[in-house]
Amino acid sequence: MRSIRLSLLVYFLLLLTAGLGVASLLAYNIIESTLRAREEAASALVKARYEELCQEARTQIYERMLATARSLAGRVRPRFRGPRDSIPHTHSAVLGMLGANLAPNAHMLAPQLWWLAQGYPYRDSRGWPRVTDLQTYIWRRDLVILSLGDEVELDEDHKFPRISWYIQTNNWGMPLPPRGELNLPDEADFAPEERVYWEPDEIVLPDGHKVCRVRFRTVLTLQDGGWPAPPPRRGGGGVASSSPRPGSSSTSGSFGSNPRSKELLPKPALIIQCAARASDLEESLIPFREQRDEDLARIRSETAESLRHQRQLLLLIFGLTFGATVLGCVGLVWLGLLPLHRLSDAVSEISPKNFTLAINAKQLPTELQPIAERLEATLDQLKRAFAREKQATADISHELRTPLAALLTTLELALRRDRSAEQYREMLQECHTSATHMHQIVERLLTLARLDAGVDRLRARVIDVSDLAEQCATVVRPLAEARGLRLSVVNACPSQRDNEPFVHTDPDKLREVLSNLLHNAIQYNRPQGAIDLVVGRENGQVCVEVRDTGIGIAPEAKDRIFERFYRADPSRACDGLNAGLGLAIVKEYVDLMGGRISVESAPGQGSTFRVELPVHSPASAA
Amino acid sequence: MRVLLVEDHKPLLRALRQGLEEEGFAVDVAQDGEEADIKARNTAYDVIVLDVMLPKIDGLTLLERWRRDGLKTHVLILTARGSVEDRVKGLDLGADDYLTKPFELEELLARVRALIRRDYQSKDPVIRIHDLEIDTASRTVKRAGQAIALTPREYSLLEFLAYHRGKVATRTMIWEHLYDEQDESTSNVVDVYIRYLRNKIDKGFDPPLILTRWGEGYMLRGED
Repeated sequence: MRSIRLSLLVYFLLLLTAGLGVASLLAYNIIESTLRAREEAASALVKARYEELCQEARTQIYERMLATARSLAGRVRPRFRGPRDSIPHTHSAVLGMLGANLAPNAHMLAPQLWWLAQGYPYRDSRGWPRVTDLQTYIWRRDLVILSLGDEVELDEDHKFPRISWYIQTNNWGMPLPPRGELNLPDEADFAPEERVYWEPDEIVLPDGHKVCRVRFRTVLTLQDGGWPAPPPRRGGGGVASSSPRPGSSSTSGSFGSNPRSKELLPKPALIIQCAARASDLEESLIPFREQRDEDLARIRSETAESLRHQRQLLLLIFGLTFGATVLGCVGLVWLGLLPLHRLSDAVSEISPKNFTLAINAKQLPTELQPIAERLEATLDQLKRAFAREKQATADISHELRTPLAALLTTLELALRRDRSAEQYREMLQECHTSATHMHQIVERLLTLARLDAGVDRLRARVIDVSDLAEQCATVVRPLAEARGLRLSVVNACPSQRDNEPFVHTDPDKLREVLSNLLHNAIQYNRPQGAIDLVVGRENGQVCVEVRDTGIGIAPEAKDRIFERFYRADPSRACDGLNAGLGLAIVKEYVDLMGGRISVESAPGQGSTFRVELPVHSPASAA
Repeated sequence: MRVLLVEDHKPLLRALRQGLEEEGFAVDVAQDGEEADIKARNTAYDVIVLDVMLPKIDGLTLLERWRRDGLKTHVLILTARGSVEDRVKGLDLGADDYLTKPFELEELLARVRALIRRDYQSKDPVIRIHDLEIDTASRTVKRAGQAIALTPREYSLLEFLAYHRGKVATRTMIWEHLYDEQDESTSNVVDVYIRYLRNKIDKGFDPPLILTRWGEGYMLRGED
């Protein structure tokens, strides 16, 4: 059996650990979800900011490109004023300057440059126009598309290396084969009625580069001569024929004089495309991205740090609560077990010499009161049993000592000197009397011991109680008559067969009972008294009454008369037979036979002992 | 010496009485408390041997009453209860000695003799008067180194006179102490026994130790 204190503590600690664990987990989950939500919000904010910055950068690039396009347009536009000579070479220098002006923006646009057509014809080895006379081209095609070149080696004479450009065809089916798969918008994409139009987008160049582009379109106005008529349509792919040549522009001034064509033709527009490498934009975004990533990492680390802190805090709270509760629990358990300790201390003071419980049951908690009360009652019984046993031992030794003293004294006396045979005989007779007395006492003690041990069994058979009473009376009658007592047996049963006093019981024990009662009746009778032995039936039981006319029994003695070694008269009887055991044996026998014995008496009025026996003995009933 | 024996167990009573008588004591018996009370108050016993458990009045109650009423006779209590409390209780109530049953007869006799000696302020069991030596323990008498054989009655008479030596012991005193209630004889028998005793003690020795005070009684010569 484990200690209560330990069990309580262990169970309490288990409960406490479980409860605190669940609470801590819940709290941590709540805290974590809150922190995560905050982190997400902060991240979203950072991302939004980043997007905004990206957009700004992009817008800035596009605006810059647009500004460039506008500027270019502004510079180019005056060149389209009727038929003229080819654009002088100096013009290209202006454009070159323009490109050079753009160069400081290289952090955004470099190494691209904007390029306008140069004023001299050029063909590559395949005969494709690389550089054309812008003005001529315009005259002929109504439309010029300038576009970003990329990584194209120009001839060594050119002042702007690493420039490439594209000239695309117009809407009239006279396209120059492009150098790549550059997907240029249709003219129709632009709303023709608008004078100025621009739009940004991103494209992938045929060489795989991704660029940001601004397409700028502005309508050209003719100031003199009108626009030239379109050239006659030729087969697709007529690259060489359609390419402008220096000098040919001088013959085309008549176009502008044709009003019909002027009406038919859509308004010529100048489309300028500016582009910047998307990678540059990307590069420009790197600091923002880095900032964003840094912010995100910071937020994440902040969240992780907060979580770590919260974890530590929770752990601390858990530990403190646990410790405090354990201390409290130990105290509570101690307090709760205190009454048990007191009871235990009180119980440990009990000894064979001290049967009192050194604690007042009323002072104990109600839960322990029944234990203490039961204990007190048991101790009380034990105390009485001990006292009884002590008393019985003293009584037994007392009862045996007197005849033993007589025996020893007589023997000693006999051996003191030589005596006559007659004297010896007398003394031996005395010794025999004493020894017989002791024998009787020992026998009675043994009888009681057997009854106590439960080894005495009923040997029951059906007997006629009145016959048995008569036999007992016959045995004791001489003794009664010697004392001048009249002994009579009365059968009070009606004569019917059914009412005869037949009983199924042990005849020897019943005889012992009746003999004992009769002996008492003789012993305590007055001279010339009477003894009646009455046998009858009552309430289905057989009753035997022994009535005497003797000294009677005092009321205070009546209750104790069946106790062992109890004698109404404390002296031993003159014949030495009464050791206070006879009635005790009678009572035990009657109990064994399932009957009941009672006594009615008053001092000087005689006594009536009444034995009631069931018709069937307990053994037979069983 | 006269002893009152109070005991209700007849076999023991008979044996004790015989033993005491054979020792030369005059023994009166009582079988219940009332009888003992009457006898103790009416006779000057040297020792009362008192059983505790008695019919009518128990021994301890008797003892208590006697001591309360100033009866100073030595009382030896006999009881079957041997516990310390019982003995203490008996002695506290005024008993002079205590014996637990069963006991040796010799022990009882020795204790009774001791009580008698105490009565006469004598601790030495041997009484010496001139050249007469009375050994009260072995009940032997010598005069001038010569052993003298006495009957128990003669010895008792001599012992009584010796305890009262130098003082006159009247015939009645002698008779009362040496003869029990059942004795039919009168105090004249004292004179007869004095004569027997003189024949054995004084005859052939000098000086005579047993003196006669006419009209008063007898005395044993003192130390003078």
